[in-house]
Amino acid sequence: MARKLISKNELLLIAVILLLAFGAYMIITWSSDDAVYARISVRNYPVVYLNLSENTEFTLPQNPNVRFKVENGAVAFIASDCPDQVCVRLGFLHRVGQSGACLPNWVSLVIIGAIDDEDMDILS
Amino acid sequence: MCIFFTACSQTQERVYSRFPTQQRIGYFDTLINFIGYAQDEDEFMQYTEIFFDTLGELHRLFDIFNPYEGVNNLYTINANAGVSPVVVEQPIIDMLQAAIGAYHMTDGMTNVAMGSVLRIWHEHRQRGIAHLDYGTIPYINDLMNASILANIDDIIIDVENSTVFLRTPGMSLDVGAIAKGFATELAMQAAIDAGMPAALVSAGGHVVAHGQPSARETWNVGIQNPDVSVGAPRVIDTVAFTDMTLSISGGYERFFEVDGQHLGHIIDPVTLMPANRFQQVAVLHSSSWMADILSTALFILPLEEGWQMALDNEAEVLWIDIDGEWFATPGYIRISAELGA
Repeated sequence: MARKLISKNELLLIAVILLLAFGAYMIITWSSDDAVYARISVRNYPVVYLNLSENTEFTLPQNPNVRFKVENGAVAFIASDCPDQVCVRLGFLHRVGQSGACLPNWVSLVIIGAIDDEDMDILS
Repeated sequence: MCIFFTACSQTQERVYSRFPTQQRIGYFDTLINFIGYAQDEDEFMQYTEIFFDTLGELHRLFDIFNPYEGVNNLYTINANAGVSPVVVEQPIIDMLQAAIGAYHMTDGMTNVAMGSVLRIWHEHRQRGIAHLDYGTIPYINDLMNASILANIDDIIIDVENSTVFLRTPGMSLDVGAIAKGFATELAMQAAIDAGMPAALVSAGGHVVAHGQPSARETWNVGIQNPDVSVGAPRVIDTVAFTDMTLSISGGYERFFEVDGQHLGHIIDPVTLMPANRFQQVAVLHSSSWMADILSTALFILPLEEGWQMALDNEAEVLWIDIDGEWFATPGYIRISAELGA
């Protein structure tokens, strides 16, 4: 009997490969479109990019007096030794384009990621 | 995300993309954000550099707190009050002439000659912020004595010789109501002259918009809630505009408290006390420095007078009074997400 052009197993394999490829494609597109980062700068130089999907709490080696927290896709200055506490009062930031700073400590932060047409470009 | 520009005489199409926000601390005592479009990253960084270099240069010229080597700035002019005229660069002459015009336009509500009064408030505010329990209000007699030195006609500008002279000893300039607006306008223009198609600059409640972002015709700018208490919404409105400036005056950042009394940084030149009619005033104007000036003046003036001033100067305005009530001009309502149709 002549061999079928494609066996059942081969068909299954192709289906699995296609599924995996599609899955990988989706992961790549999603992560590149939806990943939202907070870029933190000290003295106007970017020192860290934080993926806001990973909860964490930390201080920068360049400035241990300013403490950050990332929680549920948002980031905040949670402590600072500055007198005015403007940075801490900002609370959690999560929208692309939102920014904040601790001016006395020369630390700034901005949320970057893809912007939808309906989004806000900046918050003032 | 890209925008397209097609020149009539050429068939070649230019594709512009948006690049991530650039930030600077160190100018005009606030965080500056710069968002722009360019054909590639190199070009974007070039626009960014032109913008911030121009802004930095103007910051040094308009600085009243620090001298810089080899530069005569506002600090130098103040230090020579009653002594001698100071030779300055053209942007200082231009800015001060605009400020003197603004004084008359706002019926004296914005007065750059009021440095002597504002310095007293500045010292009390700095102390009140640093030591929460030891905040004090200046003595009214001290403020009144200082206000004698606040005569705008005592700023003598000699255009021909490029000099500025403060006629009275002890007099000083404070350009907080115009410097940021004036500088962002010039810096934005420098980047536009270099070819930048579209950009948005925010400088602590002052947003200058140019060109079209992506497929949209306008930029969307969110306005922060002056009420920063826990649970209050962060954004109270979003306005859509371009080739205009939104300038917001409000007491939510630079303020201090004495015995529960909220003391903002905008001082009424008549009472010499912090203006307290409004929580926030947002002004839209085609000129950045005019928006800056008007947001200060309209924060001080009663609503009726402010309304007329807005009308006379083609400004669109949102006022939020001390009880949280909103008042807005028709042009503001049209571009507001919260109030518009």
